[in-house]
Amino acid sequence: MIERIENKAFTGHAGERFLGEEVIRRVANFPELRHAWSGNDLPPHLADTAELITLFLFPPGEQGQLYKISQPFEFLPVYSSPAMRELMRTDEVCYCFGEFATGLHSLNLVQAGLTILEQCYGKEIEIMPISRLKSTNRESGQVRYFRPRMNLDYVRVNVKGKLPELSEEDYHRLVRNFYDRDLWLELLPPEKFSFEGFMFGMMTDITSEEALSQLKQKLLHREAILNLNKVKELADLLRLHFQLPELQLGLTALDYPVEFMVNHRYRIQYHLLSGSFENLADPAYEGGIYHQALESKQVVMVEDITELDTKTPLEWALLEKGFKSIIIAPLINKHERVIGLVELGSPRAYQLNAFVKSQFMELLSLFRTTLVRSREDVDNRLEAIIREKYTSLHPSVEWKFMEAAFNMLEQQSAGEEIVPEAISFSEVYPLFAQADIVSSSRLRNEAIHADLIENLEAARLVLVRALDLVSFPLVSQTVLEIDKALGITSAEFNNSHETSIVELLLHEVNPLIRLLGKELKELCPLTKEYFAGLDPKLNLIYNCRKDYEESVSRLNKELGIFFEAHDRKIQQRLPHYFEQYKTDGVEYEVYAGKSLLKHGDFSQIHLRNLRLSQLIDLSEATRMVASLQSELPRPLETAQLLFAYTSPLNISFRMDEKRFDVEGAYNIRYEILKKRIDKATINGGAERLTKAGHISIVYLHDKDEVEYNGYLDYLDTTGFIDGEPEYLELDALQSVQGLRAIRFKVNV
Amino acid sequence: MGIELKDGEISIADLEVMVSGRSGEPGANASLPYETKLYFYR
Repeated sequence: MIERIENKAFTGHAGERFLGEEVIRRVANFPELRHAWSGNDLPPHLADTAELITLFLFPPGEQGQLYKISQPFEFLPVYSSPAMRELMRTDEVCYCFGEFATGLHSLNLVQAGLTILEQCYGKEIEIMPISRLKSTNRESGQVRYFRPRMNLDYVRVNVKGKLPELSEEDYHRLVRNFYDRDLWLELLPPEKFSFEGFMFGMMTDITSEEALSQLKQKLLHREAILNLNKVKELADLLRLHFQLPELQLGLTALDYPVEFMVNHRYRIQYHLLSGSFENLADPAYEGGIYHQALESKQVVMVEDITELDTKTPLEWALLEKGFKSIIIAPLINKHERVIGLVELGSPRAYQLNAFVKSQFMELLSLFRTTLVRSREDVDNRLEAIIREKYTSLHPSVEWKFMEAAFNMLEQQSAGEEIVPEAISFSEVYPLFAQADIVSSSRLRNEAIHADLIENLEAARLVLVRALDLVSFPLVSQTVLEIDKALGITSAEFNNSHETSIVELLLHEVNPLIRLLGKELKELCPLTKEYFAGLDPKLNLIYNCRKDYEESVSRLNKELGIFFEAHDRKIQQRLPHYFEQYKTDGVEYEVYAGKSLLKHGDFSQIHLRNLRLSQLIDLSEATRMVASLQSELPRPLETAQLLFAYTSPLNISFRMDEKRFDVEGAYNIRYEILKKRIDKATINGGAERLTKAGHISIVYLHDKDEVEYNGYLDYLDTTGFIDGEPEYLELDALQSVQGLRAIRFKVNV
Repeated sequence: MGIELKDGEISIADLEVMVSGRSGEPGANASLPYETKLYFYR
């Protein structure tokens, strides 16, 4: 370097000659500058001279550059430019390698090896800088990105003795195994080479380009604009890209013209006025800048909102939020309809100008693509939810529907008439089970009766008091009617009684009490107390029934969740059809078989495993019901029933009912049996088969008994059975004879 | 080595340790066994 300066001192222009002479004078004073030294620090008295030397690398006008000088392949600088020192003082600086971290620890050695290859063997390999530097200001948090560049022009390789030979093959090995430290050291031995000179590293500010590149990457991401945090990240990057720290980004999905309005369906609502205004396309804001953008489908820019002649509530709201300049860009789909808006807002007038606008326009197609994709994504999710929650299309059979739909699509493409094909599955095994609330009808009746009796008694009390105060024959007549209703016992009470008593209370008793309360001041406190005791919606006393209904609902919910969760686990091992119904308790049906599987095998082992799992689930559900009793306002018990129908049947999707049903006359027998066994009795009608806290397994054949006995052995060993199982013969049902059952008490 | 990249980022100080294999002693560039000298002249 100094050698070059000495030349410049004679041949350069006036400035170079002037500086060169000064450097030569100083070098004469400090001869150590002519020698090499291996220490890492530049002696302090040489610092000024080093700075003079840097003027030959960077002219005075560029001294604001970020650069450093260091010993060859050293990180620690012997000299840093003032700007570099300032950056290191104020910022947290780190390298970003992204995904590319391979061979990081070999980086320095590879760099040195490449320099040897270039200087001693004439092999030049260009390596692109693999990293960026990221600086974060410790106070403001402002982020900047830099591209580092190493200049090795002033590094010289010295060879000690004879230059080691390096064949083409060796060279190719090195290229193939770029980060193999041992190979570099083997082929270019450390004792043969040394380095002298200096290296200078420079950093170029690439914040704007980096932000743009990250912005593009983020916009390609599937969730780019589907949550607020992601949109905030986009806004941060836009601020970096435009170098405008106060810039705000707004983004919203909307549909214009409004007849295509579906914006409530999209989650993408992050416009600058979010929270204050729901619909920017509302006709009420016609004449404003948003409407101008929507109507013209062109980007609208306002350098100073205060100067607008016409201001709708939207412009006033923007000003209130501190925005002075704004750019509004409509995003247009392929049907030339507006599907969203992107806004840039700034608190400074004229900060958003034609220059920012032209740069922003380049990004719009990316925002458009992202918005279109996100809207499709939301639509797909909505459809998935509708399919899952509002139709009976179980995921296990979805593939079959997909295939059928695909075939219809093909027919459509070929211009043929679309004929929906039948969806059916042959040879599937049904597994039906239920946990039914015991005596639910009786309990509901009792609860209703108890509430009505309480209601009648409360009303009677008010009316009898009224008779003391006033002579009103209708009151006497009503009391008589009440007394008649009170005479109905719980055992006699039926639906017809319920209707007539409710009628009496709602249309005669309550209006009469209300009238008496108005006319007789003395009665007023009593009538108020009476009405306060009624349910505001029903206008009747609703205590016992409420307890009962809440208990049923809770029990159904818990059982539903329980069976569904257990089924999900089994689905992982063997996909199968699962359907659940809730009434007074929960019943569910499983169909399993080879035809239901798109891939994989189905065997008798799978089936037996499923049957045993169902029995275990039912036992655990019984335990769960027992443990829930203390939490229910009205304790309820369930009786469990399982139908061991071991013959396969065919099911098909019924287009009219949009659900699966069994096919063929023989198979329908299964449906009939399933419906009737619930009410089955034993011992000549003396006892119901189903019993609280018990599981009853109904079956047809001896072999079924043998199979289920095997499962019961397992349940017994695992502690699910309390006492001995009973083997029962069911009383003949309508057109069904010879059904048998095993019943056992679950050990809770 | 033994330093993990957090989100693909590494501080200059950590990179210095990782690349040079330095263990605190100045000038001890363990990962680069070549002799290096600072030299301004040429």
